[in-house]
Amino acid sequence: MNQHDDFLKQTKQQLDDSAKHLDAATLSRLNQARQAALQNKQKPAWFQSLLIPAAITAALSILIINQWMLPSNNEPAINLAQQQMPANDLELLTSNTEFEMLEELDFINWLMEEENAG
Amino acid sequence: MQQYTTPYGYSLGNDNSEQRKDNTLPTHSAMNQFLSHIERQAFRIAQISTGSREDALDLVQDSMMSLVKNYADKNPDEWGALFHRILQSKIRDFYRRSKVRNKIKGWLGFGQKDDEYADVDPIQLAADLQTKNPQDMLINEDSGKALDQAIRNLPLRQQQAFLLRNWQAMSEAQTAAAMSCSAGSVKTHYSRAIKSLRAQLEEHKQ
Repeated sequence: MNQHDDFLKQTKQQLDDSAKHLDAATLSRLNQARQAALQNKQKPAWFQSLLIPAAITAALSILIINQWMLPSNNEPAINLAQQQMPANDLELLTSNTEFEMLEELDFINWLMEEENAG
Repeated sequence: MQQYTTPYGYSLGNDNSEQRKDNTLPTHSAMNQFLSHIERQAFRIAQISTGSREDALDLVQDSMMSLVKNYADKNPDEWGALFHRILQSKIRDFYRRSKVRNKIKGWLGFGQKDDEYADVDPIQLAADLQTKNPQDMLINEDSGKALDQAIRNLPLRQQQAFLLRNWQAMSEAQTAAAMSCSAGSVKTHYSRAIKSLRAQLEEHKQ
């Protein structure tokens, strides 16, 4: 066997030995890394595919509802009514309608009518 | 139970080709077996390339997670090549994140070695300033450590080519896929790596 092959064989052997004789702490960390990777895989596919879209939808819904229903600190409540919130958009976002919120809408609409008349 | 042996020499114990798709336990078991086989060598490759135990552990964990998350449903025969591709990609990213540090080294004159590297990112060429000359390892006379140091002294591409071709026994085509370069480049990097390593280690012996 020529020197070139001997060199490659020797270096390979040294690298094999180095991998074989890793310290216990490193082996433990590698084991933990492997288990973490496998556990991440074990979550059902449906869980992973729906989790993020569901979270985004929930966050957007809360943001939009809060933006439309709660008056800002610097604006009078009447300005909220002037934002011309379409009823059909509200219907889309709040399929489980709360009557308290509807009553507030009625009041706001009444205020608008009063202002337009007066 | 049919034995399934990959090109990288490990046996998965059974043929999971019919059961991979539904993520049942045999796939989990096969992946666990594969990762447990490859983790030590993967760690050593990352440790040699980064010079850091902690960075190497992070890179290996990230690579494992990426493989399991994205490629568990692939043929187990492909896992080895895929894993090395992921690992080498993350090692390259690690070097790029250290770009500022290595550019400073380049300004200090550790940059380009010849015309062929004129357009190559300095990080590909710069040696670690903390690198000890292999001759300094004479005190320890540990040829394994000297080899580590000599490999780390190589440009990243040569490191990758040498470790994948020689140690992982990957073909030129497989190595090229892992390194995201051509087979011809692999051949060039590999031959230069061997030449450089022999020169460094010969000096170490003297």
